[in-house]
Amino acid sequence: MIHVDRNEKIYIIFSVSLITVFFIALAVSSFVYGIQVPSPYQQVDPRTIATPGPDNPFGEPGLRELAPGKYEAYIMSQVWAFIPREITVPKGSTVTFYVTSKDVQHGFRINETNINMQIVPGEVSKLTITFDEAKEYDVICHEYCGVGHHAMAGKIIVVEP
Amino acid sequence: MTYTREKKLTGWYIGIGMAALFIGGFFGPLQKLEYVGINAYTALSKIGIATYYQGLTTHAVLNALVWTTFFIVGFFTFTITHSLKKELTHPIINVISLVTMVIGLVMAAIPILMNLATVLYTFYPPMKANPFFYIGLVLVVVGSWIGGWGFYLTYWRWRKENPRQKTPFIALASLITMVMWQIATLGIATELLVLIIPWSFGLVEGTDPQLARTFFWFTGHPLVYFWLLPAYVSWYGMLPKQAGGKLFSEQLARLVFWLFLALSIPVGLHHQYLDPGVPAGW
Repeated sequence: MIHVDRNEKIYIIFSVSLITVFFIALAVSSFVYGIQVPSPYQQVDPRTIATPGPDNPFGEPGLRELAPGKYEAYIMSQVWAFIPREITVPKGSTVTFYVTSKDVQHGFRINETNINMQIVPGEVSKLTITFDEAKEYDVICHEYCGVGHHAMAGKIIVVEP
Repeated sequence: MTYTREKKLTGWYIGIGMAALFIGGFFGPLQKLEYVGINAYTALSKIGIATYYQGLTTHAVLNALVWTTFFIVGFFTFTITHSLKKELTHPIINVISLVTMVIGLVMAAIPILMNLATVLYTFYPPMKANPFFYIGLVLVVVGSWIGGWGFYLTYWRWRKENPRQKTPFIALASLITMVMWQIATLGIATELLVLIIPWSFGLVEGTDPQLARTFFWFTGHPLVYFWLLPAYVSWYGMLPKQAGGKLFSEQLARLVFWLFLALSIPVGLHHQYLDPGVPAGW
């Protein structure tokens, strides 16, 4: 059996308790505060995803109002832009973002919010958020996607209703 | 014992690694200059570095992959043989390792300098580089495996000659790190050989970016353990002696390395929390 000194025991107990606390904090934050991460939602064919058609919302990406204050936003990422580049919603709206790519990998992050997704061609990344503050949010691509990567950005404008 | 061959091999590995570090490090300040509006790439395009991202790729591949792998294989050539007090039993294997790694390095460097592989060191498909960039990376990795096999054979012989003796700490820790590396790099090797290389040659039409990311991160996180553990070998195995003392608890130090080996296998997935193809349960 390994001989463990008293000091070492204290450190081991401390670090195991720390990990336990972190684990509980993680569980609490995801269930109580509803922290969400993208999950498998839909797989698509990146070769035809930009082609307009009755069954393809990415053919004409943009914002659609489902009910008062409830929206869905289909966003196409491509080198080096988000389409549409800008969307405007009233304060208090709940927006579900569906984002995919027709070429390489991109990132989709709305600054100052919890929306942060990897955009992988062939997959649709989906997250929902409620905008409670009237202001402009910057959207940035955080995955290197070629020489124009740093210029790939967009905006969400939240206005007073 | 003179360790002539081991010294030479270690010298070559670490020398090439250091050269990579200095050349790669040169691009670090250029990135900062770019942020403040001074563009050095117009001048550098004469020697083949035309853009920020090409410089960044060179920087990343040289510092994160070449310097580390060359240094570590060289360092272990030293630590394992000195710790076992035994010269390499099959030095030719370690020479083949070094030559394979150098061929790989040159093969990957050419497309990078020609701006045909500006894909950073994560090289996520479907962004595509010249096939020789990928083959070069595979050769660097396989070369490091061959070096590991040379270590295992030496250890095997030592074990036969000293059946009852406990493996010295430094040798054990270095060997565990090498085993960890060989398990971890199965991810990147599969990604490159099965998915990316056939596709970059145009033999298959498409690839699976989500699967490729999963293979990449299977290697990508243990990769940092591979960089870290040689320092641990030094801290646990060498520093106490250099400071004139002894290692406080050698058995726990051994346990640390075994834990790293086990925990390195599933850990990569935490880089994929935001991936659309990975269930939230992870």
